Amino acid sequence: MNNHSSRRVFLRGAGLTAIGIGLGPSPLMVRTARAAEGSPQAVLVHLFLRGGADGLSMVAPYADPLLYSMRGEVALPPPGQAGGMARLDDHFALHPGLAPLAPVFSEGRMAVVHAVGNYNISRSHFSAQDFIELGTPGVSTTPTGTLDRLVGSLSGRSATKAISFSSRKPVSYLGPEEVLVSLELAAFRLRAKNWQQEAEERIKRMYAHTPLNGVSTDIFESIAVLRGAESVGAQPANGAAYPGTTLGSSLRQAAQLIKAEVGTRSIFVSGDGNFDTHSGQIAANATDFASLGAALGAFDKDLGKKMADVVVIVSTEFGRTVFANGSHGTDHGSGYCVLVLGGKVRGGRILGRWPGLAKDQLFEERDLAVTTDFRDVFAEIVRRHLGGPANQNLFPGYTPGGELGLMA
Amino acid sequence: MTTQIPHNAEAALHLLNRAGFGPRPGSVASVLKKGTQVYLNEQLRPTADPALAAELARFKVLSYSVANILDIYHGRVLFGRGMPEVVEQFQTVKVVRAVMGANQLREALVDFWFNHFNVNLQHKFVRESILPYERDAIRPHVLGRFSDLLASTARHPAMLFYLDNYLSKKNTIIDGKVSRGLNENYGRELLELHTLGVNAGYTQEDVVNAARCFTGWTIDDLKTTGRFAFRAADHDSEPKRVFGLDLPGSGGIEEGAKLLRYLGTHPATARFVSRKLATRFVSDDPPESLVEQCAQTFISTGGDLREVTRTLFSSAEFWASAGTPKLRTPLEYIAGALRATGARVESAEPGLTWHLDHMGMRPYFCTPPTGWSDRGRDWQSSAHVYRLNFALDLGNDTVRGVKVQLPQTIASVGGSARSAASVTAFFNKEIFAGALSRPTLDAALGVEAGIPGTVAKVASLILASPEMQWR
Repeated sequence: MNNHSSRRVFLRGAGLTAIGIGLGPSPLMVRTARAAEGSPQAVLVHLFLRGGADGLSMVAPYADPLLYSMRGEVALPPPGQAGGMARLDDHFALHPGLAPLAPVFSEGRMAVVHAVGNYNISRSHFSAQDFIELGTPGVSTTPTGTLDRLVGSLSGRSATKAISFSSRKPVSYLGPEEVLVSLELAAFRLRAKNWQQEAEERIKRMYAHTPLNGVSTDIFESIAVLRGAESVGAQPANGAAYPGTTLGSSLRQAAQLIKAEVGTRSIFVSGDGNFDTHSGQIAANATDFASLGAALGAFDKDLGKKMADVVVIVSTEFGRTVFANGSHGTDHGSGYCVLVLGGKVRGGRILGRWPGLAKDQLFEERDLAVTTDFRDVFAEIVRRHLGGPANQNLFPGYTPGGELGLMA
Repeated sequence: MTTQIPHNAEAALHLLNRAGFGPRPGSVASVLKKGTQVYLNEQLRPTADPALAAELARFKVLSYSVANILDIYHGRVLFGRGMPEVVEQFQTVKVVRAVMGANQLREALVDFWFNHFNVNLQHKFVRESILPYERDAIRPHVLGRFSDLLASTARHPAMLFYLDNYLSKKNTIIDGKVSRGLNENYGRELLELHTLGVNAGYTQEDVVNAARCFTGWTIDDLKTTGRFAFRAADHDSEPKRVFGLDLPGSGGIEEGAKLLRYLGTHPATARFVSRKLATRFVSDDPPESLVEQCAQTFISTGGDLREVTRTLFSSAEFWASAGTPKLRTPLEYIAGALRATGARVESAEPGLTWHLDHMGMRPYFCTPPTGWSDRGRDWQSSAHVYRLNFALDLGNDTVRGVKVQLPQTIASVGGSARSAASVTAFFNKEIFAGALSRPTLDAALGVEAGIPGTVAKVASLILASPEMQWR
């Protein structure tokens, strides 16, 4: 009997309790996590892979023959073969570039949620990114981003409460909250040799009664905080080696800030790379997932026990077609996979309801169907990890589904 | 509604700031002398610019074909430091044109339309074809017909590569099984970003059918000639319907051309393009009345961009936006500051590209096909610190590849660089038409006089000022 069609990879039935494959959490872990719920040091890192990262390559259902018949050479060999993927369980495996995350998964600090997305499908990068970053699928006019609302709802004030490792403020932070936006914290200072103080004072006064006053205030408060943060610029701990990519640099600095304990609660990281793989997908993914895997692996190692304060969500705007196109690539699709890392994540499990790859199981006969709304993932982490707000504030007009069981 | 164009220093400044990269010392007086209306008319009909041509003569790559640049890339022809030098030259040219060009509106429009039809230099073949793309597919058409602009981008190898269309072939049935050849990328972005806009109401089926029209549109050879080619054998010759247009399927290459003409003159395209122009040049949230006026001109002239642009800059809405701050993009800010100081750009690398990169706008490095945002507010964040640092460096004349000779520049318009007051007065008159705010004036005038570095500090502060960030 054909294994893939009958076996229930996931259960997300009554109460949406997921039955994990792999390591379950120990009762001790559960207690520790409950005690820390909503810790004032809890941090959310959202690593966003713009371009539509292919969930079926990140975490591939290698045991399903349809993967190979529909994707041809875009599907990588199963675990154990040359160039093969890194096994997670009997059904799923990580892209070889993400192999550094396999031990993080098996040690219980990483979970996967598969077939995530939004039910208001848009295959436009622009719309789909907006829907996620604003937290309102189908509505692009929401005045604030999800992370802005989140930061506003968490107690405490600090110039470095919200960070974005990017060169522009992402839509996720659209709104009134103060955000430090920089790709390079070391360069985030005023370059006024011999007249630093004077230049700062004069610039502040010029900006004081203008629409850019908020920007000026954010800048100088952030500079002051960073100046006092000793771990910013320090070497990674535990022998962690970040890759020399922009993503590696961003996560290295994110870890420095978290160690500095300067009130940081929300970090947005723009994942660099070409995830919009309409052609040459094998080569593009080999480069970009290697950077992602190495950077996340180093981050986990660098933070060590401090990972208990951290949850990292790795997501994208949409998945890609199940079948390969004529260019050794895939076109815009729907369902994707989300990686969730953290010291208190109930890791080692693949969550969500697997929709299957058979023709009648696909969305519009082309895409992995969406079975988990991305807001369920975020809402649960915000509630259980950050001690965040009621979900109507976080996601206007949305009633979240049941618990995925991401956090112990 | 069109309006009588105002004729005063504020109006001249508004035109210089919006229909270009801001004033150079002397610009406001010169526009006032010939009249704002005359200046606008001149800008809409660019003429030869010998000073710029002389400045650009040192950039040899400007006349190179895709094949020439492929020769450099593949080592068949030696060219300085190879591709890094080629890239450096066209990044520099972009800034030099913005800073030095007399046809300011055309340069702003080339920047706008390149961005509308964005391709990204980080893709391998795009790097070798991006300069010919801007020169041949964009620049000649920015004051021409939108359909021509659209058609020339569609056929250009840089676009064919960037959006993968060069790989797209018809799907075939082999032994009852579909063998996929189609690549949807260009078909989708053509509808969403280049013409109709995401909310026009087209469907996934329209996307697929649009893509089918361009099957067989490819590049003859990626390593040597790099030219457009049509391969009839790869073209899907079944009938198709795209957003209301029926194509019998027998048209071959003409089918794609027909679809481009249809989309290029469609009312939804007229509105989408008009809104985008108005957002870039007038307001982050342009009035509907302005979008509608531009769209009507677009429709009634069959997409004549010179007339659409004229409508835009002649509208009451445009002139009413004078004095309403619209945040400059990083390129607009840097070019504006270089113009204000009369700086000379030797090379964009490594100084200007480093600054632009930190501000989030490294030239030709925009990854997604959406291009950079035309809304000022999308550029507003604490990354603004890098603008402050650029101002500090420029005032100090320490931007690598750039030469500022402020005392000479100030003297050239009859001013003096003797004191904080005289330097402040120069900027206030020449660059801001007297509109610098009291706090900015106070900040600049308060700099201690008579010590080395006074001029640099005053210049740095004014270049960092909020007024300098707006256009």
